[in-house]
Amino acid sequence: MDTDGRPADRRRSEASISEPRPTAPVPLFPEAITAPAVAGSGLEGRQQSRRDRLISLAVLIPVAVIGLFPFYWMITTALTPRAAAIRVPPNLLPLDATLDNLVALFEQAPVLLWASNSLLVAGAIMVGHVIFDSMAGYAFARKRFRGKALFFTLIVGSLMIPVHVTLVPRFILITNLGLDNNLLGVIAPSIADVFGIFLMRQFMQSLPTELEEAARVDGANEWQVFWRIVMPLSRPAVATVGIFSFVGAWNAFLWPLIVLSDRELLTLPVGVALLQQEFSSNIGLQMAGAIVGAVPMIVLFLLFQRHFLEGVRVGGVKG
Amino acid sequence: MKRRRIAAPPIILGLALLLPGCTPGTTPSTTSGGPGTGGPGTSGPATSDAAAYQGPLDWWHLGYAPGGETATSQLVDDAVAAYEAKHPGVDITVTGIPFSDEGLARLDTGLAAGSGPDIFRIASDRLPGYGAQGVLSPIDEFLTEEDTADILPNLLEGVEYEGDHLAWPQWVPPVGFYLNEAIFQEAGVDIPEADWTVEEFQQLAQDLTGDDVFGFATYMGPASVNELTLLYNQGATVLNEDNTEYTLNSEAGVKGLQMMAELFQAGAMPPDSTTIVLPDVEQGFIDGRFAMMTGGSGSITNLKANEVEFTILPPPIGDAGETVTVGGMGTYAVPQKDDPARVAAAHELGRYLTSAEVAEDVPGWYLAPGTRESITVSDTTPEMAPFEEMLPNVRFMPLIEDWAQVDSFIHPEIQLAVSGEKSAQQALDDAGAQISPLLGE
Amino acid sequence: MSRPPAAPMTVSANTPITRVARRVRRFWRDNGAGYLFVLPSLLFFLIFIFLPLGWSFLLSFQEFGFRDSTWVGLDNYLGLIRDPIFHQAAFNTVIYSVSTVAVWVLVSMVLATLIHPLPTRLRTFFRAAYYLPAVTSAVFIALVWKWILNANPWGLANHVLSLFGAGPVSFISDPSPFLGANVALWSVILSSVLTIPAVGVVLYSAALAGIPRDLYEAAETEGAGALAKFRYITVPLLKPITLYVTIIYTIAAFEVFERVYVMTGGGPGYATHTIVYLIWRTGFRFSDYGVASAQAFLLFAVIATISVLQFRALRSDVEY
Repeated sequence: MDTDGRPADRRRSEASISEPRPTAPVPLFPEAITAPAVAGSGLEGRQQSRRDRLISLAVLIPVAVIGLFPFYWMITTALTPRAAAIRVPPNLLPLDATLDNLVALFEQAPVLLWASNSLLVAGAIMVGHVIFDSMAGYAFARKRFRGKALFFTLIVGSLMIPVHVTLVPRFILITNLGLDNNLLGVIAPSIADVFGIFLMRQFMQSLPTELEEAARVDGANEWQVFWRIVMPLSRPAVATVGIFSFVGAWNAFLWPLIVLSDRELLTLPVGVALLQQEFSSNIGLQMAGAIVGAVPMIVLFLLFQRHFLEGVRVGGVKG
Repeated sequence: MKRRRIAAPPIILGLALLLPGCTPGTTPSTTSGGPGTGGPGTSGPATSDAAAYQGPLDWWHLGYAPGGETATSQLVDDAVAAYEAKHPGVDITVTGIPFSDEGLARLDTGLAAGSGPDIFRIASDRLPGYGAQGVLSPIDEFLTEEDTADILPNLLEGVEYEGDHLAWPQWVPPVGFYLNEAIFQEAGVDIPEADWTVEEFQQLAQDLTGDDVFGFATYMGPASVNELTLLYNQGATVLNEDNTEYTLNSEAGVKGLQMMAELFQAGAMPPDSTTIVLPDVEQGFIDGRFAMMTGGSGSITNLKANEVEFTILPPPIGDAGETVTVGGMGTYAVPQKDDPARVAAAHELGRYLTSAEVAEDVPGWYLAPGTRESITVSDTTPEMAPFEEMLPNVRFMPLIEDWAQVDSFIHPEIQLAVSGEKSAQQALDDAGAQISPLLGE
Repeated sequence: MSRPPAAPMTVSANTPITRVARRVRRFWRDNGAGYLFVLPSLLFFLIFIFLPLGWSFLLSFQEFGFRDSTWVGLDNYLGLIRDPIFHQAAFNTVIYSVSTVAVWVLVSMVLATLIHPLPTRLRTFFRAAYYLPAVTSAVFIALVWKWILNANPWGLANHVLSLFGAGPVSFISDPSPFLGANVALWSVILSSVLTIPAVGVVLYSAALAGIPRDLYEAAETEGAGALAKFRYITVPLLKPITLYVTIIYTIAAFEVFERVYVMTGGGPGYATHTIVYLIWRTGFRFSDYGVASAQAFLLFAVIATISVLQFRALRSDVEY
């Protein structure tokens, strides 16, 4: 890996700017995926024979059905009244759809409170990631400093260790810092997650340096170069990091569970899990809880879909 | 197990500076003496400490949710109210933790970090682990003569570890067999008596299996004791008397396991028996898909809520010649902490929650037969009577530190035998091969 | 920090102190900006990741106790190497990973290729449809699959089979040997394979955008059909991204846990035990954090080795 921070080939970086270049050279990995989408090249929107189109759809649609099926089942189960024997036989068409489960859910538990906790936590984590990970990514992409390669290797290596193993040490650490049973205790360690740094580095490496150099010549200091030039150019990557960290933080279960005790402090997934335990024989209610947890993410997804899908190409994430 | 203090390399010292919580404050108080030599009389300094205490007490309870729908939650709330009324100035906060491995991990990490509760409800099988770590405050100092006279001796033994009694014994939910009356009626079969035999059971399981009905279902996953009833009633036990030898692969054990395997392969048990989870067993029974199931006394509430007609019987009698059942014990444990008055107050609460007094204040508190002579459950909950009658016949799982590990080797082998992958003998022998090394210490 | 003008030379130029000071200044000039930008992340990383990891690593050489841990050297690791349950879990994990990663990479490549030529609306629709389930919690998806692959006749798969007159299959409750592993494991693999590799689809979509149109047009004039184009143009040019997708999916597959935990609890027997499931059980059920740490670091060694190998094998320098 190029630790110098500069793209090894200027030609590549030129190709990565927005204008369509039908004969653009194919960039080398990982820079291939770090470039903002090159519109119009390749096969996009190309005229396709009807037959080809039909064959494609014949594959794509069933796949979509299979993929969306679990989701569909979750929704129908959530809408099924308690009395219905959900298990036998399976209930695929919610002919007796009811909102009872959802109502019961909100009655039984401070779901809105939990959702707002989740929002606070996820939001803070997202902001932390966006700022710090971009800064660090920039440093890895552009700056020289001693120990850089080592640090980067540590970062990538830490991605490969399953989280359960550091749970107890982390919790003891948090407790010593006095942050147990505190939303900050959930937020702080989560900002430390490193996938964002990796992503931002990849992306920023492929940006051309001319703009930055020009800004420096004009007298901008390092921070201004970063904030005013590099960050705006990195918007897709920043959006990716933002959305992934938000979603990840929202859905996080294990860590908040360990840290938080007070019922009022719980985040949504943890609260829902507690509910499920209470209502273990009411699967409709459980699924209603699952849906409530997923809905904000879906809304977020639909709203920011374009940035998101564009940004996901940039560097990928742990499956 | 020998313990040596580690010579800490510098790095660990550096870490230790940042993590002083590794070693929670006080050294555990070790009281000597066994069951009979409990506390120093009825009112020692301990009880007056407790009486003087004013302040908060943190109570962690698995499966609790404030204002929750389950019996657990409501009863706990009532008990707290009653206790606080009798002890003004004591402010109890109950925290619910999920009844799952994660929840237990929460508890463990809290205990490890020294930030855990003042009192918590826990099943007795986890006590040796905590006892070996020295995180609990034994009850011996706080046991009054009245207590020791009242608590059933074999049940008091159930919380004993290396001379100390580690927690307040609350109740014992023995494993019983639930019979679905509706299914029996439809099949035109009579409900057997309490002294039914294994052969009768086997026959019934097969006869009652029909189109959409399985004769028998049981949980056999991690931490289960339910399916072990069918080995124990033949006279087998997991370990011998002094926990030095593995004995489940005896003739009796093999016979019991083989019978279960035969039932499964004859189609009398649901096909997902090897991976089914406890709530699904109960649900299947409620839905009328299982004619018989194993279950503890805790299932009664759920079944009644779903209006199921059922009969409870002790496990069928096998080669052991008499009724044998297994169970765990629910206990209230008090962690060791720095403030002796607070610890004493927690013990006081523990005694209350396991006494006859709480049953008066909170009707229906005992969801399983209590551990004291003074407690009868069946007058408030008549369905509980068969369980009360089983109490003298309950065998507990061995109280050893590595029990979780021993347990983890048993059930996979049972699952393999039931599904026919291995013979019962082979399965039980293989479990033994894993377990024996653990006992060698 | 802007680039300072050339350092002023003081008259008393070469005393040791000024030499050191000059070196420090130079060091700071060269490295300072880098350190400052990296500082917050570095701090967070050191405190919340490196420190716990370090402690875990040390813990892997000890036997954990709440109060004190005893040093046991390599015993934990040696014990694992001899442990048949660990072998089984490792074996299961490898089979699971190899199967699912291969399918995921292939399927996402094919799906992306099929989506790519569609008109914008359809393209967006499919990408969104494929990505949507990825946004929900893995636990719930696993619950659904548990019901689908349930051994009972009312499990969805068995229900469908019965409509064709086929008998119920025990799927996830069946430990009998099959194709080198066992039925239960293959059932879990089936549920994974039928989960759409959404991230891969989108990654490949992006990479496909970078392939020049004229390559395909040139091939068409020479009479190449769809399959030939795919095989000789698309696949080779996607090699770089294939490497990336393979690595991230490998890491994810090797760390499979929720799926197994929810669907089978590791059973029946040890049929679906995976390494992370073992780590979980060892740490959280047995409180044996020393051994659990050893398991985790062994897993890490394996993943790291495989990643390096994949990197070597799939590295390409396609550029022209």
